Amino acid sequence: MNELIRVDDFGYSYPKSQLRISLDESLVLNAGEAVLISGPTGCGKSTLLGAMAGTLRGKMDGNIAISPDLVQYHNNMPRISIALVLQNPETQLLCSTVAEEAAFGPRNFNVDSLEIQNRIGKYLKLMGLEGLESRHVEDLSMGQKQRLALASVLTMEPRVILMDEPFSQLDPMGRGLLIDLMYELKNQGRGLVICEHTLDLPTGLIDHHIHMPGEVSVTNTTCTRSFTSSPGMKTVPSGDPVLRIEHVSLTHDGTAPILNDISFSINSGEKVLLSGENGSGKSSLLKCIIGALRPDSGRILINGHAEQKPTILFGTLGYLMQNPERQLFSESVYEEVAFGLKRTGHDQETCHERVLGILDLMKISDLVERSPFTLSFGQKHLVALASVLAPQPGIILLDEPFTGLDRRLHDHILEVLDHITVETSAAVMITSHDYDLHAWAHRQFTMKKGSMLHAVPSA
Amino acid sequence: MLSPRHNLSDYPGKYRVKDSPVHRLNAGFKLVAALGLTISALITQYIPLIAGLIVLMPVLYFISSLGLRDFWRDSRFFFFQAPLIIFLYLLKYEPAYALTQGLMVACKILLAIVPAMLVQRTTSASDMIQAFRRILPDKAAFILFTSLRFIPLLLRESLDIWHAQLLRGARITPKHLLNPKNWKDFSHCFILPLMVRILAVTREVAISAQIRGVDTYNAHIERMTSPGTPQQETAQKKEIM
Repeated sequence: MNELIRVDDFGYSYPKSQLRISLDESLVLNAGEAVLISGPTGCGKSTLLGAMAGTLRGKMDGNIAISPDLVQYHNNMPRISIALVLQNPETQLLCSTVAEEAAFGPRNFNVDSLEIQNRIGKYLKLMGLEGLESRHVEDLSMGQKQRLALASVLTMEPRVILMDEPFSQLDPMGRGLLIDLMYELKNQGRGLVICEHTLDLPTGLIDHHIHMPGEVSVTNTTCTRSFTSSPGMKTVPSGDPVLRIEHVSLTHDGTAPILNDISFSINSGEKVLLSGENGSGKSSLLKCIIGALRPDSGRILINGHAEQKPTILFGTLGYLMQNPERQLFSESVYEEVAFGLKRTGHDQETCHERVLGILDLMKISDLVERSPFTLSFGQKHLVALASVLAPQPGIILLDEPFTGLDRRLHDHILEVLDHITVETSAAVMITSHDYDLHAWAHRQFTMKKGSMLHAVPSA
Repeated sequence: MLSPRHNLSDYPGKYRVKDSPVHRLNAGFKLVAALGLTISALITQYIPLIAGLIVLMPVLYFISSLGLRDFWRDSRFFFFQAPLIIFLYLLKYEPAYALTQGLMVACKILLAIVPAMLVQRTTSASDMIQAFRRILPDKAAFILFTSLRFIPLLLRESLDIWHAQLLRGARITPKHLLNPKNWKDFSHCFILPLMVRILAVTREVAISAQIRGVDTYNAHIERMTSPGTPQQETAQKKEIM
C-alpha cells in the first residue's frame, strides 16, 4: 500500500477557549482509499482537516507525516499535493466566472494553458457544470457552487482531497453525483478524507472509519424518538390558519421566476416541511414571508394581516436563518436569550422564568453564564434557536436548520420543536433538501424551480 | 438599506462575459483610462466637458455590448445622491446657486464612479489581478481584488443579519436610528455579528487561496516533510513507510 498521510496522537487546544480536541486512534490514508471521519458537532473534524492541509495555526500535539510523494515542485518551490474543500462554497469561489474559477489553482502553479483548458473541460463535465464556463459564479445555485468549489480544486489534480461535510449543501441529485465522483477519484489512485455526520454512505466507498468522540456539546441529550422511521404523515391540526400564501410570484430582472404562483396555508400547531432541490426557491419564499423580499404579485397573510415588515412581525414570527450563530451578539447566553423577551415588554420575573425554561428545554442550562462566542458550533446553534423560541412566536420559520449538525442534535431540535408546537400551538415550517424529515412533519410541500410540485397530504 | 426588491446576485459593476472592443482592451490600459476619466471629471469646472463625459458614458457601455440595464444599475445612485447634495447646498446657499453647484458636484461623483464600474464590467478576474500586479505587490493585488469580489456576499450577509435581528426586536431601522439611544442596538445587534462574520469569511477566503496556490510556499511543508535532497527524501519516505 502506498501510504500518503499518517496522523498519530493528534491533539489541539483552541486559543482563548476551553475547548480541546484529540484523536485517540491513528489515521492512515493510502492511495486509492477513502477515510471517513465522523463524530458529534464540535468534536474537531474540521480542525483535523485543517491540520492535514497545513492551514491550521497554533500549536498542535502529535505527528502528521506526509509522504514525500505528495511534494511537487513548481518553479523550484515545493507544494504539497493536498486539496481542501471547505463546507461553505460561497467563500471559496474567488473569481468571476466558472472557467476562471476552475483555472485559478493550476494557473497559480504555472500549469501550461492548453493543459489548463483540458482540465477545465474534464472536471466541469465530471461535476455536471459543462456549458456553464462563462456563467458568473454569483448566478449559480448553492449546489452548483458546491460542485464548482470541488471542480476548482480537482483541476489542480491533487493526490489527496480533504472534504469538509461535502454533502451538507447538496440535494439528493448532487449527492449522487458526488458519490460517483468519489469512486472515480479512488479508482484514479487518489486518497480521500471525508468529514461527515451522516454514516449512510455506500459501504464500498469508505475504506476506513475514524470516530472522533470530542466534546459533548449538549448535556445528557438522549433522543427518545426517531423522526425518520415513522411512515406517512400525521393528521393536519385543524387550528386557525396563521400563515396564508396566495399566488405569490417573484422574479429578478431578466432571470427565470424564483417563485411561480405559490399558494398554501398553515394552521396553528402545524409542522410543515418545505423541501426541494438546491435553488428551488425555498429560502426566497421564507424571505418573502419575513418581508426581506417583496413578491411581484400575490399576497402573504400573517394572522390575517397582509403587512409584512420585520418590525411589525417581531414577536409574532420567529426566524432562524442558515448558520444561526450569525445572530449572536450578547455577552452571555442568558442575555442572548433574554434580549427578545425584554423587547416584547415582559417583566423581569417573566423574562427570567422563560429564559431558564427554554434553556432547560434545550438542555443547555449549564451554559447560562458562558459567552456565546466561546461555545462550540452546535452549542451556538442551540442558543440561537433558544433566543428565537423564547418570546413564544406563533409562527416559527427555520431555514435549513440542520446544516452542520450531527444526527443527535438534529433529533434533539425536532423534539424541542414538537414540544413547542404542543405547548404554544405555534406553527413551525422547516426548509430542507433532506426528504427524511417527512415523518416528523404534518405536511410536506415540495418545490421545484420556483413552483410548488405537490403537498403531502394535500391541504 | 437596500430595497426588498434588490437582487444582490446582480450588483453594480458585475463582470459580463462579452466579446467587445472594450473587453479586448488591456486591463492595465483600462485602469489607467478610467483613472484619467475620473480625475478629469473631478478637477474640471468646464460644464461642456462634464456634459460631454456624461454623453460618453452610455456610448462606452454600448460599445462594450452592455445593455441599458447595466448602465442604469451602475449609475442610478445618482438619483439618490443628487437630491441629497442639492438639499445640503440649499441649506447654505441661494436656490439658483445651490441647484447648479449641487448638480455639478453630483455629476462629478457620477463621472468619477461609472468608469470604474465599466472597467469591472468588462475585465475578468484574472486580467484584473494581472493588472493590479503591475503596480502592486502580488499579495496586495490579490487582497484588493478579493475585497471587491466579496462585496456582494458581505452585502447579502449584512441584509440577512439585519432582517433576523429586526425580527428579534432590535431597533435598527433607519427611523429607529434617528434616536441616539438606539445606536447601541445598531453596534451590538448588527455591527458586532457582522464583524464576526466578516472575520470568518476572511479566514475561509485566505484558506481557499492558500490551498490553491496563493502564497504557495508555507511552513507546513517544512514542518511535515522537510523536503531537501533526493537522498533525504528517500530516507524520510522509508521512515514513513
